[in-house]
Amino acid sequence: MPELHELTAAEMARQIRAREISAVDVAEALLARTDALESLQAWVYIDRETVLADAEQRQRELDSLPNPGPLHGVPVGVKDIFYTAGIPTTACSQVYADFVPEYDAAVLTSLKGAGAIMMGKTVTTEFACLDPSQTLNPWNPAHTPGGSSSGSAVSVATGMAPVALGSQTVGSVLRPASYNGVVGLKPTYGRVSRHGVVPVSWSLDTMGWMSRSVEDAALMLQVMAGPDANDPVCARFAAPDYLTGLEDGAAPRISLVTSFFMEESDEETQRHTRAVLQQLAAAGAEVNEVRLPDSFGTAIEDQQIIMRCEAAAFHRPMYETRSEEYRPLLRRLLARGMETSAVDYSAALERRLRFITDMQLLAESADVLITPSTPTPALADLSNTGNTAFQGPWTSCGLPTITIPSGLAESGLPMGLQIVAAPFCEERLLAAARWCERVLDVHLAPPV
Amino acid sequence: MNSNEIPFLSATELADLLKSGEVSPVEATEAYLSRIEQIDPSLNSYITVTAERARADARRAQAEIGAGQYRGPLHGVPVAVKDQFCTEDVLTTGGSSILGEYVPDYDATVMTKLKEAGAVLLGKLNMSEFAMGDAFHHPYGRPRNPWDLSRNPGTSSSGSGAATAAFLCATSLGEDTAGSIRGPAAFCGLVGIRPTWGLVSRHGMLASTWSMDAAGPISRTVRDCAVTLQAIAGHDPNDSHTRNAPVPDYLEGIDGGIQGLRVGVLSDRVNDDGVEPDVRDAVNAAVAHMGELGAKVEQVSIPMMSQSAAISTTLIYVDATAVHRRGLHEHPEKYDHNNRVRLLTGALIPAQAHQKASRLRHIFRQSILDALERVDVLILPTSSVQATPIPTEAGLAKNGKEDFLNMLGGRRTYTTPSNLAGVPGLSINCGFTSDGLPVGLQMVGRPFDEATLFRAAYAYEQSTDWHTRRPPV
Repeated sequence: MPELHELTAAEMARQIRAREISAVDVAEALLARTDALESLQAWVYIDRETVLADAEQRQRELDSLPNPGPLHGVPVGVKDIFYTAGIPTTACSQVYADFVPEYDAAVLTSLKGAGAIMMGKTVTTEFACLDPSQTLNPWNPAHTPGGSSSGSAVSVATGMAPVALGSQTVGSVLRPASYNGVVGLKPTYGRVSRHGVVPVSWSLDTMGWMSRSVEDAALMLQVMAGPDANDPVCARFAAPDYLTGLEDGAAPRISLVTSFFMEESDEETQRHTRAVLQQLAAAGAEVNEVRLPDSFGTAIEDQQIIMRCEAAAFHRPMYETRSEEYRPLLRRLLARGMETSAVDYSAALERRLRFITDMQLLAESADVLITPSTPTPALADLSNTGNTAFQGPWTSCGLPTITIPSGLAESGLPMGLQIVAAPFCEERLLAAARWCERVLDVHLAPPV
Repeated sequence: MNSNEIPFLSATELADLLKSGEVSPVEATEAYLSRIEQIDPSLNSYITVTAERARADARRAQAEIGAGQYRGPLHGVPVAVKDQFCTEDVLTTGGSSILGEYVPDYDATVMTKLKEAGAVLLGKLNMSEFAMGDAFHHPYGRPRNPWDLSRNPGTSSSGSGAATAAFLCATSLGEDTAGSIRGPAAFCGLVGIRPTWGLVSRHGMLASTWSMDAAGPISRTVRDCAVTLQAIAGHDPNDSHTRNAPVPDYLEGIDGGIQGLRVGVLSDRVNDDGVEPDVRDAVNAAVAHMGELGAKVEQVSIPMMSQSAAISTTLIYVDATAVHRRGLHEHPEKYDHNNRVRLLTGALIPAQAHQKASRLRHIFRQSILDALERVDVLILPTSSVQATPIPTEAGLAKNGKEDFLNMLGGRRTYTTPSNLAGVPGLSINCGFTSDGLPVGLQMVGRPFDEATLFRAAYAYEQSTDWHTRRPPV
């Protein structure tokens, strides 16, 4: 019998609905867990009274609600760049220390509408950028937990929350998810609203989240996906049903991306990935290998140009008077962004558009593409948050991606499999990920 | 039929006679070539007349049609294209002396498609330098408006407008970044369509602004325009941004009428102070007429529209500067004065400004798409003014700030909505000003719904006689 903090969100919600457990017991168990693991520094804000009051209310609502939402009574961690009405949203920066939004991020409104409870705000690197945060990796505190959604990844990995919101501009959801041994989903650019989220780079920023099962990732997507007039890049068509076919996926046609992604991985990661693919093939998956288009050649550099220009555009008014309050990596990024000419920015956007088109074609050539989630497991280097290169290109071309845990390295740190599908094909992505999850049957819990 | 009369046929009328053998492609081609020789010195609509190539094309078409191998409605029809499209073994200048000796070794995809359709290429048409806005210096002669030689035929597809209006080709191709097809169509009394971004290949077309450039036809009638677009539209493996989907048959249902069509008039744009009274009256009369034809007319307001020129100018200046970066460094003196100012301005714009314009563009696009969920077609003038006089001195803003603000808020706010939103826009003649100059009515439609624009324009055209008037050349 698993403990309450070990339940997935879907299971938690099911048991709460069935009155096998109470929302209040769940909230208390998770709060106790966060107390016990406070040294990991995954949270910047938890208001226990409000969490408990919300849980009590959710419990009471069970008596009157004929159809409780799919996340009824489930606590959710929220990265500290998502607006929370009346609650500080600091982006973990001095510059935003006093910011208290008047409204909730659109996705938080959706989550609350589905019955979720806002558990608290998780640690982000400053403004979801590069300077490492204080959060520790629960697998080994000498290793980076990744960023920028460090607190969300660690809180989910350790059972402080079953699911937590993150965001990915380059590699901020899937990388920390993989470093911490959990599932991380980043849907297609434009599938989930970004309204009410402190931006990094508006043409790259994509919402995402961590969970401990593919089902939870799908459940979260179902609750949050859809049009939003407040986010002009949000797709105008409604989201399909991600859950009904989740368990019925046939063995997928998988293409392993060998160029760059295998070449840049360390030997252990390569060996591990090959072994995992053999396991998937043995279970019936059709596996072949593909290489990247030529336009990949400039993708990573172009993404850097685009990100720093767009970040500079957002930060300029604050940076002009408070530049010394920014941490050094972000300060350098903003300074460079402000110097960049529109001509260079536009040229990068044009190359990126070609890259997007090429990558869509590549993604359509198989059910899913697969790469190792990171070139190495989390490294014993706290001066940075790890290598973003395996996530960045997919964020830049906007394709939906998910990471699932695939095993442990000799160092004892988690390794993951990154799965990619064609744009707006999250159904296919999630069904394939669920199929792989079932075949691999790897569930990791850190030694805390 | 008297061969002097051949050029005055519409492209589709000519096609019928070519198909039946009443007129031969060689005869039609010679009729056009002699009219070009006679008329064009006063118009400068052509940069290059490809007479020998045209004769060879015509002979081939004649043989094929004679042998029963009829290719379709452009087979044997003499056409001309803006000098922005690369043509194998034929000079391609982009309207600039910088490319004064550029002879490509390949055809743009639209040229290949015209060839496959059996069209006869009469030549390459004049344009403002590199398809930017009004140029002062025209190295291949200043193009003139057939309705009034002291006036502009519109930019930047100036020659496409002038030559088509003066019956110097049966139909033509232009390119529209911010109004360069619709503007000349309006100033010259023609039908021009800027298709949805991604409908027509841009492979082999000299670039201006990568996120907006769109190739399309300028023609004398709606049917001609539809047939010409039909020939060039469709997926091209050489342009990965073209949509990979079948192109509908634009003639099918073109005569279906507009009973019940929901037409949204942008009244605040039509009645804006900046719109010349004759233009305003002609557009309002056209809208009333569409109502009489059965369209359901309603008022629509898109407040951001007045800012569209500022957004698009920021993006275009920057993108064009990216294209011309090297040229600007190596030989700035070779650019037209106005373009040099534009490109230098583009070089000074910081990325943040471009980024903000891009964001506004997305918001603006959503507002256009929202409006097009409520109505089938949006209506506004193509241009707030009639064909403008040819300037006598160089300069973008001779009266300083006021001119510049007017440029950002004036004429361009009428054509830029569709290029910012990536949706199709069609211009059709809807009357004449008291100076005897044509007025353009613009119809904007949903992405890839060119067919509805053709149907609406055709219904309007067939119940009016504006398209039967001839300019005094």
